[in-house]
Amino acid sequence: MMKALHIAIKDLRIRIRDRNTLVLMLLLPIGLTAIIGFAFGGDSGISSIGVALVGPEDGDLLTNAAAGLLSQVELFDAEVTTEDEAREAVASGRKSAAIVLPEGLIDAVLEGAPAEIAVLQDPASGIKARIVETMVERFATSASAGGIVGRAIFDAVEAERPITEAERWQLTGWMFQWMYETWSEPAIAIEEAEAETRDVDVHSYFAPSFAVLFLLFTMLASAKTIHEERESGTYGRLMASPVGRSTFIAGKLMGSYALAAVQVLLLIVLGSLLFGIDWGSHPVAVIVMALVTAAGAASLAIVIASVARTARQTDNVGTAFILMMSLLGGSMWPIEQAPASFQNVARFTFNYWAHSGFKKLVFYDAGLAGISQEILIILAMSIVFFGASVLLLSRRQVLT
Amino acid sequence: MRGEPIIEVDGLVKRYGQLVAVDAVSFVVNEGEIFGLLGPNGAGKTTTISVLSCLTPPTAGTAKIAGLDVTRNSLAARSKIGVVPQEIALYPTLTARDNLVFWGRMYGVPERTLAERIDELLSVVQLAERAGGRIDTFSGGMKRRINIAAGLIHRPDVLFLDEPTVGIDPQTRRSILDLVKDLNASGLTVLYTTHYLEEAEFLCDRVGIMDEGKMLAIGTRAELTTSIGATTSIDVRADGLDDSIVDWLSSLEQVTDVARDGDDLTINTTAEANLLPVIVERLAAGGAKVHSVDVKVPNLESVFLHLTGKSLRDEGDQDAAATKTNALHG
Amino acid sequence: MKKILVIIAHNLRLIAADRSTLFWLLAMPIAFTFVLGLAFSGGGGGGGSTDPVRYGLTVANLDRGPQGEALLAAIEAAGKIDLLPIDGADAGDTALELVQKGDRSAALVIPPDYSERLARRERVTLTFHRNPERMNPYVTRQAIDEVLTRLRAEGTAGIGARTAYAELRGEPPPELAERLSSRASAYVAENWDPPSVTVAAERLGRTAGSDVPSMGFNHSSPAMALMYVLLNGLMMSIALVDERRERTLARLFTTPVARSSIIVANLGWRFVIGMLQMWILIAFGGLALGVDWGDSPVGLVLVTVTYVAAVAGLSVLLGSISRSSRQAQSAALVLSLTMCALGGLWWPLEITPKLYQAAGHAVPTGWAMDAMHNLVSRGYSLAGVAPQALVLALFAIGFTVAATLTFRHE
Repeated sequence: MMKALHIAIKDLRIRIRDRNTLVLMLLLPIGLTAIIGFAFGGDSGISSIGVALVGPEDGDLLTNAAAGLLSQVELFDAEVTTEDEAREAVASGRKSAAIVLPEGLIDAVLEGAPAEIAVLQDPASGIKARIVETMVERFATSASAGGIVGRAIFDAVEAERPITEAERWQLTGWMFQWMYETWSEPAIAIEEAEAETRDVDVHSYFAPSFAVLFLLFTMLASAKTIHEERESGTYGRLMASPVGRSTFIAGKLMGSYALAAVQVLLLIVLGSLLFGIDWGSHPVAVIVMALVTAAGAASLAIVIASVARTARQTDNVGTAFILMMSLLGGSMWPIEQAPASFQNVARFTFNYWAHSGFKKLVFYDAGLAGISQEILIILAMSIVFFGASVLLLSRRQVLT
Repeated sequence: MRGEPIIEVDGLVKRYGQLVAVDAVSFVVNEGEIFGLLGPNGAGKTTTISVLSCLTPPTAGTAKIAGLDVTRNSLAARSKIGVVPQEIALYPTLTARDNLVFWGRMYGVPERTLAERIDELLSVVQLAERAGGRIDTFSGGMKRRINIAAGLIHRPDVLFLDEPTVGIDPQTRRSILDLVKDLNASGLTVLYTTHYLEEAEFLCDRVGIMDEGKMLAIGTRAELTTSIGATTSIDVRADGLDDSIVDWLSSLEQVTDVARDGDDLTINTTAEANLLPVIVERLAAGGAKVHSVDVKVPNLESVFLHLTGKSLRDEGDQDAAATKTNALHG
Repeated sequence: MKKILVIIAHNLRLIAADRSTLFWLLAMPIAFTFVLGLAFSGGGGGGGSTDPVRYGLTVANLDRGPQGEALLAAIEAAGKIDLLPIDGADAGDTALELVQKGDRSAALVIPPDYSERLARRERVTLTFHRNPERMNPYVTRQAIDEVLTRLRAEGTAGIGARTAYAELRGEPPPELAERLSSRASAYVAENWDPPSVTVAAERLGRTAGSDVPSMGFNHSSPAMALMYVLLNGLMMSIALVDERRERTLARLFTTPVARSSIIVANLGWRFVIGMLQMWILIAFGGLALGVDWGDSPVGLVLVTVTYVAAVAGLSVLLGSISRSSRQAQSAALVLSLTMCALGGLWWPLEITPKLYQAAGHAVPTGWAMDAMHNLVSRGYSLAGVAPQALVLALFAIGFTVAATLTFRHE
């Protein structure tokens, strides 16, 4: 036992002294989290969308009003132009979208005649152009609704008694005023309540994700030393001393595990210090989750190393496997957005459960009980992985 | 056997920042010679070879190969030389033959003669049957031999061997030294660096002794030992010695010093080879009965000690030096 | 020149002899493209299901009257969402808890006095609980809004008809008022569809008709090709460090091969591998994933040539300045991942701040992705990608000059 401990301590010292390990362990996950925060966090994101606005040359009252209304949308950086120019600007990506208003907007509203607002979209813009489309759709819905309400009122009043031309004008004028007042204060309002009260930003989502991803990489580098020691002959030297093979494996696993625990805990601390991530009000749950995740990653990496035959193979097979699992399990992008079938596949990965646990801590302030499912599943995975690696290492005589 | 000068080094200086690795070194190697650069690690031998191999530009001075300046006529000079670096500079995942093919092409060996040349070289280095084996499956000695073969692929005029025997077993060392001798016998000029003086003594026609970047002395072994005034000492143990023999020996021109202590006689001479039979004959004629004769010839070690005030062996690994002596003489 | 070709062939052979190479050059990027494309599909070039996705919405109807039920029926009838009702007195709290724990994406709570307040024509407020990490709530919220807009129009028309009548001819008697209201409401309900003002979205460029180009294979295929060519390209810097350590590079310098030839050969074999990889991935995207690579093959060649040249130059530079292969490996990882993130290979640059977009164009990846969008989405010709290709060529020249200055054999 003491010998295994010494092997573990030796491994830990070698790793921590290596600057490249530190890059992989800490710098990359923190750097990537920072970049993502830079891309999506804070007041950034979509603050201004370039929009070209095209109205007919002699637009009616309502068309002009619509143009004025749309040009004042806060998100839009609108510029009034001709359709040809607008097309050119959008096709080349200088504007995300163009709104082309039709001539007979007032007829559409008053008479119910069909009118079409065209939204031209930048082919390379997946999101901004889509936002413009949604905003214009909202406007069109309001215009249609306003029109139909007006026509319904005329219809009902006229059904009781015919209306003279003078009355029609009087009523139209009144109605615009009345509708304007009424429509702005809906009878049924929706109050949005985000289901959490915690201040969560994009860092909080990605910091644990990248932590898990790079934890696996560190563990792989650590598990690889099983082969490296064999290839460099230090393993043979160890076996010539009174150290058993099981002691060696135990030492390796302990070293890996200690390194993993150090990495996860450091990343958690650095996450709070650098990005202000709030890991919740249950420190014990956070520490347990960190330690369990470390165990899962360490044993997963050992299993990969025991399947491989050489250090190089461990590197190749392992990196591929980790990347694939991270992609499936959501270490590289929010899989909550993926279809349900995709998420069902994700449940078979270690990454999925590790994220799930950290997400519950960060997003929902879960306690130990809240993450018990994740902890049990990862522990079960660790035991299976560990058993499999011991079996593989002895059966396949990777270590001889 | 002395031909025209093929390597001419004149006032060569190489500085790395403050460090002077080679300090105003001059020497000439003639065609057909084995010229040794002898000195401890860090003496500047490898740097000198690097400059001659066109790897490192000199800070000052000139170096010429077959009349071609290594800085101004670098490419032409490089086609004249074959370099065998200290390290096994081969592609480990390729076979011996594929390595030789690659290096042959780099030297511009014509395709139609390349295969033939490789077969020839493989048999010279006695690895013909391992031609298809990957370098990373070879033993240390086999790698060394392919490493040398790669430097010979284009039939160079001069071969540079930079400590080719460091860290290998006695048998391999012996076979490499024999190989170098054979190559030289067939007309190849060799520039050989080593910190093992036995190798220099065994192999080299002339030796340049280097230390701390400076060339201290150049010459054949005899020239070097003579130049420092070193003498051969002959110790004789015999019954029935008397002072008449001491007087007779003292009168000889080649003898510098004679001393007698009972049955032990110590003679210092500058020409041991001619003297020994004369002494033995004279002793026998005088009725003395000779028990043993021990001749101590001055070697490069004495020269190095004389020039630097330190022993070369203290610098190198003494075990290796000892095993080498066995390999050379045993 | 012949020697350059020999060195290039020699290195290609060394690379090809390594079985793991094929895996890294091709299998991994293909797998990634495929998985990412599937995950984000739902339009944009082949693949993915075309069935409309129905989202679940948790509802807690606490209303004592009939209007709450009517609202839910209307939402369900719209056919976009499945309702997951919760019963019981504390249904509101249960719904909140479910969302909070992450079991449900969103919940709608109808208050107990919903019908009463509507009848009294008082303002009434529904509560919508949203899980901030999910996308579903955006969809369900929109579906609710659509229904509410119609209900609101019906209500407004009812009130409006009565008020308008009063405006013209004085306050109507209750019976008439009721008749006016129900007639106007019924008119709205009947004529709601089709709406008179509609929006026709037209995606310009050559992908007209496809839905969201930034998602799906049309984005993931070029992005993953650029990413893996960069990643593998920079990883190949390790080979240079190894050659230096094994002294084969120094030995090469003692042969009659010029320094410039050795550098050109080192750039050359990396370029060949990068181009091979790039075009196999392009072919895979086109044949297997249905990605349409645009109308300008020449433009695509120009962009890939300049991009791969920049990557090859950076790879040799990195190999020249790295002190050990482990250092080169770490640097390759850091550089390539950072450049992928900055250049918009992982998410579109359009949603990032201006400063970020500027940073994305300080590295080759940002320009390469722009060029890919110009070709694949906008259908530009050669001239349309010339500016990007020029910038990529400048990157290639810059990296190559730096690599030449730092190239060494020891």
